[in-house]
Amino acid sequence: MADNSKFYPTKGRVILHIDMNAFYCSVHEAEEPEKYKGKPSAVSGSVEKRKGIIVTCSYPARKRGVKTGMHVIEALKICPDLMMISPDFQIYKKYSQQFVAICYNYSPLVQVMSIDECFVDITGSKQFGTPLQIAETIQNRVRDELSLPCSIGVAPNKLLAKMGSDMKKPNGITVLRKRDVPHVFWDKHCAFLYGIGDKTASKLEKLGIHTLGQLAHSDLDFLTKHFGVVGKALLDAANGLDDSPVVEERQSNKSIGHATTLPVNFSDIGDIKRVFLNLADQVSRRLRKQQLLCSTVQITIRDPDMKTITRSTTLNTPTEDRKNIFETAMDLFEKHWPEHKPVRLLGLTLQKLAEKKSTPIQLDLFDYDEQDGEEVLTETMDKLRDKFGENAIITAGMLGDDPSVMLRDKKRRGTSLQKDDLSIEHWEASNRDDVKE
Amino acid sequence: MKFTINTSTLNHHIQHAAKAISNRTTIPILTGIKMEATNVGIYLTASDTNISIQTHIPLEDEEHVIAEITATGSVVLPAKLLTELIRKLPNKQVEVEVKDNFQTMIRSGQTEVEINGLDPEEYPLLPSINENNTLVISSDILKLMIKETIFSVSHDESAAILTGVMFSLDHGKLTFTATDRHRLALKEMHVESAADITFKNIVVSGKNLNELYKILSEQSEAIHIIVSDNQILFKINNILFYSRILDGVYPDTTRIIPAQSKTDVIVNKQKLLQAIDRASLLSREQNTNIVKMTVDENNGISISSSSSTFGKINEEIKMDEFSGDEVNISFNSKYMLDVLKVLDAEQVKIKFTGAMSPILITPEDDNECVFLILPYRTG
Amino acid sequence: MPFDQFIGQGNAITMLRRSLQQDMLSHAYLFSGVPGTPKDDMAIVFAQAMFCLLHDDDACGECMECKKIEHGNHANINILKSDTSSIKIDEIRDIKQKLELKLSESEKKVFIITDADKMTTPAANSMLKFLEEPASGIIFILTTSNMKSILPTIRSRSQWVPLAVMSNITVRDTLVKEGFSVVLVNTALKMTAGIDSARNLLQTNWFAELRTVMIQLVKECFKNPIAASIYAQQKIIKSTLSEYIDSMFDLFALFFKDFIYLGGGKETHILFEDEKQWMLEHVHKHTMERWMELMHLALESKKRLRYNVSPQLALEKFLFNMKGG
Repeated sequence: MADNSKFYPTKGRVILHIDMNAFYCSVHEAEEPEKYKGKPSAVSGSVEKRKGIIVTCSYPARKRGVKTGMHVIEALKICPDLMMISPDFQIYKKYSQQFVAICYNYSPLVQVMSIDECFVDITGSKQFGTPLQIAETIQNRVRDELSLPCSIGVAPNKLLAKMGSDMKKPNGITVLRKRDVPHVFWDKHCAFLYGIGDKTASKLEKLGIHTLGQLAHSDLDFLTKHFGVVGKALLDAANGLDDSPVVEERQSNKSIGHATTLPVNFSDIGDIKRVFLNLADQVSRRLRKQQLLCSTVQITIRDPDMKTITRSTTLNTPTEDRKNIFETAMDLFEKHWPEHKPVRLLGLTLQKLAEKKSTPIQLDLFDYDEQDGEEVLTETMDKLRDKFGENAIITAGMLGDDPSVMLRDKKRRGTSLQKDDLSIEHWEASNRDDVKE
Repeated sequence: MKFTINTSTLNHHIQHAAKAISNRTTIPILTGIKMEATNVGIYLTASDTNISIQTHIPLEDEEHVIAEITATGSVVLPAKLLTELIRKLPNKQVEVEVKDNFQTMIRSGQTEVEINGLDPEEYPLLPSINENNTLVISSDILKLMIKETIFSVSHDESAAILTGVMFSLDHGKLTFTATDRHRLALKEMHVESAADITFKNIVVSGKNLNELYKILSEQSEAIHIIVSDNQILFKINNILFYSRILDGVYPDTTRIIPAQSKTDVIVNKQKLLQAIDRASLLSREQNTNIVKMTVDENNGISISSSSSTFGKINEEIKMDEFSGDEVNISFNSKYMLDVLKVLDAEQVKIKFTGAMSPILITPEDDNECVFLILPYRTG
Repeated sequence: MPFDQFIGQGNAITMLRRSLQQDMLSHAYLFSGVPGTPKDDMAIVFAQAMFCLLHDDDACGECMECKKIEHGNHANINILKSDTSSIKIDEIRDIKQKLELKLSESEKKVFIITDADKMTTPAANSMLKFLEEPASGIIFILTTSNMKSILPTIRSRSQWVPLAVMSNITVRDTLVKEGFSVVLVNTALKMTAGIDSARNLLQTNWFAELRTVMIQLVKECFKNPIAASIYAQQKIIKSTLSEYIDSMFDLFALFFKDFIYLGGGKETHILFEDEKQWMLEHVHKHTMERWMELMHLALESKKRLRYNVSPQLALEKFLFNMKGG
């Protein structure tokens, strides 16, 4: 075996970031190449209605000017032969699992960020070759075995790896070293860096910091004064430093969540309630299936400009109850979202999960006797649904024709993301990819 | 205004009045205490618009002259400074004199202090309350009623009405109720009042009652309680204590108290308290304070708790009486300790109504107070 | 202080007085107007009028209630004036706590929130809750210079009281009537927005002097540039005027603008009427382009102050450039 040690740093780490290019479209192309290969195609929330929004689109479509977030109607104007595809999350999930499985061949330290991207820590993977060889092998295998394109960033930390995979698309491999940081990043605008949002960038702007180079040379005290603890993180990031570990999250059930991209922008509170009711129904059902209780409820809201916020609250007593979760989500929404402001995506995540068996619940004087009855009812309903399918029993108020209703429909689950651990950074990231190109 | 007064008497009264001063007020004049010298004595008033306290210092008591008024008048002086200053004055006597523009001279022995006063005209007026609806209660009993209920009020500001104690009066029976949804305390007492006075849903914030509690003496002084539409007034000897009433409807708790039980137990209060207190040492995990209690005829009461870090504990206590089914229940030990600490009896009666329904605790032969605790649902 | 003090706000005042006369107060008022309009003061006077012992539809400013309100000592008036850049939900929560206490039947409680546009989304949404379920006796007065940033749902639930922008002529006449000199008033109005801020500027002890010194400095520059530097040292940098160099740059710019007007034959437009003669004699010493350059130079120099350039340095550099061209 060749000695690859010299290609690995003596002290630091080697991290890969693997990003599947135009994932949904690529998957359809892989499934039916004769139909889609080399053609402009797009996946949208709602195909038949013609008023849906493009969730992602193929590279040929991008060349024609089609962009993520566009209305289908608009996209068809620019590109009349655009092939519209209905999402099939079962297949996406299958492919996603397969590509993650390939990564696991080269390291046990794989952090799945979303359905189409992951980090792999290959610091201890010398036996498989140099970092660049491993990256090439993974890319080739994903292409040969799955017929999917991906870009890979190779770097000493997650931040640079992430930035690296972003630089050459599709099918690129980019090595970013710390010494590359000045000439690659420093003349760029602050918002260029992964993790610096528009808000932070404009605040930096106001402080006279326009480029990443300026940020990298800023005074820590000055940044701390204006940004608190984030100041240090900003300074580090601009210098290409990031010591966050690659956390293996495959098995851990730290949260249960669902998000759904809406076919059109919703602003009516009734529509939003219905979406949350369906989300609450699904996440609480999964919670109960796993015999868990949650203490924290988090909602995710994205506006038409792809700006995303998450807000969460901790409950007084842990719960598994749909109604309780739904009401908490609505409280959060109403508190943090201006009335009538349009919404593009809604998500609901349950956190601080604990085993039901070992979690005592303080009963409430005013409804302890109802609590029992409700529970029996829920249990019965769950059983019926296990037996006859998700649509067997639907509470009024859950009916509608938006994708949240389809959550129950396994094949067509209208969610753009279908992972238990919803993390916002990767949404930002994956969407940014889509928008940029 | 000009008067001389016994320093310690003034200090005593200022300390009482200052209980109504809030650090958080945004209204400048309310950071002050209003001092008013009249021919019948000196009045001190303080308020945060929620609580208002007025104390009256008479010119003399049976034996001594307390104060001498040279000129009547009034002024508002900064409360914080005043409370500190009067406490630290060197001499037994103090002279207070208001000059132009409310400049106030305070002289005691060789000390002379000049304080910038404020215009007393701008001080809010005390609420005017129709004194027809008066009931009389002894201060030690009122104190007991507060003590036995106040610990059960909610601290969750989102349900404001539960942060108070609910007063009701019906046929001369005064009832205090407090609940935070997980436990409830109820105390009844017969009081003197005109027979036709009844009221309900008068909710007084727990914080305010706590201040009142500090002022009430242990001796049996007569306290007059007067209720108006938005204020409640407690007349205590020479102190007037006004509190705003919380707005909202207190939930109906009468039906919550179970009439029937499945198991009744009588046990020595002190023994039970000590056992639970020890068990609670190992029950701090995740703030649940959870302890488990099993009761059966042969083994008595057994209390246990466990902690994954520290280990477990098991205690057994003999009962004096038992009737009904076996019990197996878990509850928050803090709730039980709170009850046992205020409960004034040698023996307590505990009634269990089911593993997932309230535990009822009362003194053995007393129906005047009732405590409810909702258990934990486990597994 | 009565409503009369608000010159040119007749419409708003009539509206407010009518609701007082008819005893038909809304649960919420939204006072809006450009910066400089007396929104906050009018909110206070309106609150005084609600409580005034003397008048039903105005404030006397003399009675105990009016005085208490003026001094912030009225227990039933709460003013939320946030010093920070936003009004957070905690501050609105304080209001909520105050609302949890029961009011007696006749009692009124007024909450004044200035710069209501600074409310964060959670704050605005919880504010909305009060407006949706108005309690009797509770009156909110919100003020803002930025109507667009107020939630539409808050707007639609409040009585809108738009404050008029006073015409410059009305404002000028008012100030002149108050005894300020016309030339100073004209200059002050160019440098501020609204009658109050103009009056404040006129009442300072430095404004008139600053103007005189500025004119003298320009004149010196024409005569003897070296003497001008010394003059600047003595009169500005080493005096209390050094604190107002930013305003001085405004004055420079306005002064040069007058030259541009004169050069263009628009004599009626000029501000520095008192210097008209001298200006006419000197306007041809520079080309129009140069006058414009000088005006920009003054504005640029002022901008530099914002980037923490020392005022002395900025002034010296400015004088140097002025001579240099």
